[in-house]
Amino acid sequence: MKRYGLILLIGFVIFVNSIVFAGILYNRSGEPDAVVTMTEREATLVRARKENTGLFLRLNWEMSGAYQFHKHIDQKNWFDENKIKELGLDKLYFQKDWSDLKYSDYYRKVPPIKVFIVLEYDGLSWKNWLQDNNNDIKRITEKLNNETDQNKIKSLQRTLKQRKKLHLAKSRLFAIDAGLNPKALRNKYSNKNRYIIIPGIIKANYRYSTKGNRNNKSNVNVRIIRLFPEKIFVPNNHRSYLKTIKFPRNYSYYYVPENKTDSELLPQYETTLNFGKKYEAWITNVKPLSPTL
Amino acid sequence: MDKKDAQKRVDRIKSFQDELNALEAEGVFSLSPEQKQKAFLHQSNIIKDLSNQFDTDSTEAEKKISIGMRILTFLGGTALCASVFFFFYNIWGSIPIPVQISLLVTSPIFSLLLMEYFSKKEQTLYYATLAALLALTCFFLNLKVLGSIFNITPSPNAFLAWGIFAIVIAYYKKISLMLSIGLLFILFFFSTKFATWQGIFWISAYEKPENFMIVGLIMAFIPDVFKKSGENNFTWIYRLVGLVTVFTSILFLSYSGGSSYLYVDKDIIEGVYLTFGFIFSGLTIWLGIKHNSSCVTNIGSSFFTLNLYIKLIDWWWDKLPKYLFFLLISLITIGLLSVFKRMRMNVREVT
Repeated sequence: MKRYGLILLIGFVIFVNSIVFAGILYNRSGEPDAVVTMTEREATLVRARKENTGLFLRLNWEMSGAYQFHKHIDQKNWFDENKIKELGLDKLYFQKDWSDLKYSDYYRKVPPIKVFIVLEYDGLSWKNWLQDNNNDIKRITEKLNNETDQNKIKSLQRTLKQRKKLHLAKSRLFAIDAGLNPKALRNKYSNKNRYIIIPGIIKANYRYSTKGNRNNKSNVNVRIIRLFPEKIFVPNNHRSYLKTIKFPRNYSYYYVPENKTDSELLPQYETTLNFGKKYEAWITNVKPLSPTL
Repeated sequence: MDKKDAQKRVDRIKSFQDELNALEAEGVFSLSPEQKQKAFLHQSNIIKDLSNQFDTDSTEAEKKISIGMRILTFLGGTALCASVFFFFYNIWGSIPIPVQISLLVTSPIFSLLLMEYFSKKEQTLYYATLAALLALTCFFLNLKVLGSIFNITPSPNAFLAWGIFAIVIAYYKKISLMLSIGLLFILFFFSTKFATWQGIFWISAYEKPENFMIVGLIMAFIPDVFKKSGENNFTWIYRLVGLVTVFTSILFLSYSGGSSYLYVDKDIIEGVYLTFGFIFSGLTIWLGIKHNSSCVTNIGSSFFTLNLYIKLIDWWWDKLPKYLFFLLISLITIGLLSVFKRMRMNVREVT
């Protein structure tokens, strides 16, 4: 060790870096697994914390059909009991009857597992969302016409205003499926410009039902807690425009500032993201968008 | 001979000289002035040689200053690492990727060369330790930032690389601090692997403390597996890192049974781990005494006491009046004192 220690250490640094670069080259070699051009709505600019000059784009996504207006239920959530079984969560942790409350604490602490998530850009989920939003607008308008309480009228008017602008600013990227085999998912979702397959982690939680039967198995709720990558690094050659943006436009769920004009809500840029053989992303293009409808 | 052995020799010489003077003063025994001068001169030359060669401490005052210098090295090293870390993040956005990569890959190599230079210049290894910490920080940054730049999916393998790097430095330059850091990285790596085998995503390995408990236990016994007569003085570090991990996991599980892999009621799990905590700390104390290892004995007794006091607070703080609570605590403490005193007597008899 005394004689060769330094050589061994330097060799080790070079060896580890070689493995890392081999992985990077493999990921970026050949045809990418997905090439998707999206806008600021889906790839939001994130400035790193103070004293950090790095710039990132964060994937702004939502669960398909996770929420409806004023109904926080998983009515259309695709993460149902069949999906839990398919991903093997039930084999790992749910062998016992989870209606037995003495195991509830155990289920609540079930740790996350790794799966592959399918993200759909500007597809059927977005169309469904637009339909839901239009239905909600009609419902809110009807409610507004019948309402007499001035405070409630003001609140509904504000919600209605937001709802009418939301389609201009909201992300069109939805998590629509999950699986353990990325190749099988790619065969199922073959459009490489619309569907992204990336690694993520999901977590099952035991949840006491506020209404209904505690013994119902649907009390176990599964959610995606993280995608990899969460943030995509902006290389130096694509920074020039992005670093001039003072106020990134990042609106999700059901909120947009109602006092902004339509052009102030529109995305400021579009970007092309490639996803390679190891499902790792990189930016290939960033283009400013003109603020027109 | 290494620095520790050299220091032991110096301490032995000092004790011998003090005892000889005491015996002379008490009129029990005395050397002739010539014999005494000859012996003391010989010993003083040995002390001088060892001091030149290994930078040993000849007096109590020197020893205290050395401890201060070691603390300063650690603080200075930590500050230097933080400075490098934040400096890189301050500039990385404004430099092209090829320059970033060159900086990231070459900085650990330059730090290693710096460590080599300092270790050749001085025996004390204070500056070499600083450079070793810097090298580890640069290597840490190297992999972490490459991961960010190329959006690589996080992997526990990076912990293995950092751990091996730190451990090789530790054995190469005999720096115990690097071994402690390296073992922590390795411990985390194998714990995440253990979690992965159970189907859990590696980042969440901490949610099941048993992952760490098993690896910690193995780590504590590694020196026994790779035993080489009179080889290294690092055994206590393996024991410290391993046993503290095991005890911390047991302590956590005795309060949060739901985090266990065991498929039974959480109250039963907590009870089992509480009992296991006491048995294991008792076993650790016994092993420490048997193998004459003060480190193991101290860890065992510290966790035994900690476990007991935390549990007493948990059981009695809300139920008993404060005067009674503290009275019971003091009685238990007195009881523990007498147990430890008896244990000390037994050890004395054995040795």
